[in-house]
Amino acid sequence: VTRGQRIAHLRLWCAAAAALAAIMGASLIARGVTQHNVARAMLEGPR
Amino acid sequence: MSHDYRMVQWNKFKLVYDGAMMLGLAAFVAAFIYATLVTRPADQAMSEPQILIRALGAAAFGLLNFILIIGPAARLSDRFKPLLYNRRHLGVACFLLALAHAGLTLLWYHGFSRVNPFVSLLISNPRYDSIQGFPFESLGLAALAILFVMAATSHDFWNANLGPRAWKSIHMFVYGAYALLVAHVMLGAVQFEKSWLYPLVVGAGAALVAGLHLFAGWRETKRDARADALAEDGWLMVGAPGDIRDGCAKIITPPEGERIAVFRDGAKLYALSNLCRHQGGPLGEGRIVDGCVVCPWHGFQYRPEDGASPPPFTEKVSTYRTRIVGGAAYVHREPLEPGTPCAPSLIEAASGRGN
Repeated sequence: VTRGQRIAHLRLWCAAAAALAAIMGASLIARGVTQHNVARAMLEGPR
Repeated sequence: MSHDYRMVQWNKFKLVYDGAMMLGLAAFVAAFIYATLVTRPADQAMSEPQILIRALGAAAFGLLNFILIIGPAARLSDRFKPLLYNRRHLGVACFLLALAHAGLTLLWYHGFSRVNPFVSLLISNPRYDSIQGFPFESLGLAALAILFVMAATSHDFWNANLGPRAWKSIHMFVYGAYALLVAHVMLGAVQFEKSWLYPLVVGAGAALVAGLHLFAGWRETKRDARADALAEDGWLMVGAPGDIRDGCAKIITPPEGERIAVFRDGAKLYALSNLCRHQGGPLGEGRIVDGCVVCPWHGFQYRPEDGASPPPFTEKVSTYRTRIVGGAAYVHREPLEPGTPCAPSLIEAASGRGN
């Protein structure tokens, strides 16, 4: 791997780590909202 | 290599490697199915086909994590290099597991529809504007397409005909496939599962993959920045030739340009470019076997005296001039044309005089 490729890979991985964290964060928030809604619906019972 | 091709040239190491891989994957799938059947609460029960679909998907995703960890792990420790040697076998196995997961998913969830199962998969959930209800299947399908292209072009035939640069560029898409699969799992199974085990395992895997790549990359660029001392007239200090283990190399980093591998073969000192012509592997981390420098990544060979692969192969790397003065070895920073013969410096003969 050339010197230039090593620098490019490192930059790419910084961006990739941020993107992975964003994907996981957003999906965990969505999961929390979903499960909160499910729990509330169960408490409220059928309408 | 560059001469001719057979489908797969089996040897004992490859058979052991593939045997261990298949046993490991079978054990993982069996353990996943057993654990799901035994530990899953009754109110979250799944049918057998659903458990098998989940087990195959988990095996493919877990294997992809493992594949991506091998690269930086091998840069951090030599102990992981044997795993690197046939990594593409793991890649093909990953694609086949993902294909089985996708095929069963298509049959089980879309096979009973009046609509074509492929069409059903793509149109049944149009909620692309939602995170909670996102059609995560499409992310898996895109990742599967990337894995297919990579598996189909994994043979060295494609590396030679596309060229190492194009081949490597295509295979770098594995990181795109990985990101798609993290999103596929996080927006799919993780949304439905009550247990924290799924997000924890996926998060730990992603943290390990990203963390190891960042750490290994940071260490390499730090090493590039700390170039070896330039002596006079473009000669770089290597150090005492006796400090280089016989058959091995010391890697020298010039202030500019690519790294140089200075090999010791008995009483002779040679210098070659550190970049293998195959996929840019670090030649200086390889060894001299049967008179040839062997790349630690995929076993490409080069003669140390001229940087050319032994016939019938045609790859050539640059050679560099060496000299020994006052008991210290030096290498010249300017590369010679790839394949140019370059006389070695003789360690015994050089007792304080230039050679």
